[in-house]
Amino acid sequence: MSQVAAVEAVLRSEFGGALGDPPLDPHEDLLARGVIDSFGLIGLIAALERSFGIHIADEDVVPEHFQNLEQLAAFVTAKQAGAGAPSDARSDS
Amino acid sequence: MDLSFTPEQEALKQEALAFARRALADDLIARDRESEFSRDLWEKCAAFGIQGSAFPAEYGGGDADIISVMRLMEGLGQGCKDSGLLFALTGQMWTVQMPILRFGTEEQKERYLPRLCSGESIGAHGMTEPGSGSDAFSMRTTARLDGDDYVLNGSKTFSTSAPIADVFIVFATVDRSRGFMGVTAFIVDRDTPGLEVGREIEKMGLRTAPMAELFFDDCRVPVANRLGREGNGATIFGEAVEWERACILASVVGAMERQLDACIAYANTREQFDRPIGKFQAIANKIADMKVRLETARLIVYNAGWAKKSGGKAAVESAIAKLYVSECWQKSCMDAVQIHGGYGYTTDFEVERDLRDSVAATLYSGTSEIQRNIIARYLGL
Repeated sequence: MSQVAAVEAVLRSEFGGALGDPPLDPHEDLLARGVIDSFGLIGLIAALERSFGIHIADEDVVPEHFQNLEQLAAFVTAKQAGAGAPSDARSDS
Repeated sequence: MDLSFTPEQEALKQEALAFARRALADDLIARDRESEFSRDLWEKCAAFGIQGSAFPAEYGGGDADIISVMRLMEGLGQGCKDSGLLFALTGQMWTVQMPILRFGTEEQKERYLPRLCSGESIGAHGMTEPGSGSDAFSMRTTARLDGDDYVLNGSKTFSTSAPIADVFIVFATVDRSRGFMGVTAFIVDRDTPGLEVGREIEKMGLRTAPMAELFFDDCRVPVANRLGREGNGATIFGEAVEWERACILASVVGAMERQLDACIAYANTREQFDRPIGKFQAIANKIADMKVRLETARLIVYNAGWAKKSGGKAAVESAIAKLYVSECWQKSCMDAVQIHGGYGYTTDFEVERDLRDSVAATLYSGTSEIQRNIIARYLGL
């Protein structure tokens, strides 16, 4: 299973019917569509951490990681690789 | 499972209790009537080390762990009857200082934290808007990047300590299409052009904690004053209220113990039908229920504290604590008035003030309904 498909499976486990029929367009804006809301985010982060063995820091919870499936999969891959994702980029503008 | 506190944590509570009884007792009935904040008591708390307790020594703090801070706040809540003061104090600690510590740049920490810890500065939090309360992230206040500044426009309401604050943590959206992930946090100094602190809001309880609206009219905030990254505001807010929910209630647990002691003393001395009223089951059972609420509330509050200490994230534990303790506090306040009978309804006996103050507990930092939503969502509902 590709990383995109694996992340989509986690998304579907958390948000179910809100995502429509599979497969999800990897570029579809999940924030603009309101698929990921502030309540659901807590569960999504816990599910991603559990499923992929990663730790998602509060500083990582930014739109560029959660906007669409492709970005989310890339973020998870970076975390698994120990890249630390851009949690240390907090002073960027 | 060991539920005991360390000798140091126990000593901290006793020291805070003694300090509060000695230094924080003033003419609270008059100040409550006049909705008057006490800067003097605020500075005494800072000198004792309250505001800095949970923060690193390098910023003027006391370096205490969360359980020790909660124990400190419990002692303070037991000894200090001014719930408004404690509400303002904890609001600053968890929704102003902690976000700066957790998400601020080194420059931001050095600039703001020492003065907030020492009591020289007072901080306030601006999240709620006239049109967005429980649906907090549907905010209308915007932040538009323009050169080296963000330009803020909009308004905030229910900002505790706003009338006396020197610095504000303000949330605004940089892109409404991103929903809650457009929300961004800013540190705004009081003298920033375009920021106006509005009228003081009169309220039912917590009257010694002043509250006001905030208005932003092309208010230019330097990029250097953005807290965290663009779109990170919802997470910053979420973490702040987690701390607040877990810790603000520690002082309420202390207040519940003070209230229980007062009710027992009254029930043992007030006589009707030739007996102390505590000998009647109708009164004794109420007091027994208050004791059960106190003990269960304490367990559930420290459970949230332990979750924060061990894992960092404690959204559900904090929501459970907020929901349970605030509702216990209200019920016990009602019982306290009833136990005191007609005298309980009078200002001089000071139990009616606790009841008025307690009503806010199921509203601030997320209503009871929102806490239930968080818990239900966690359960997959």
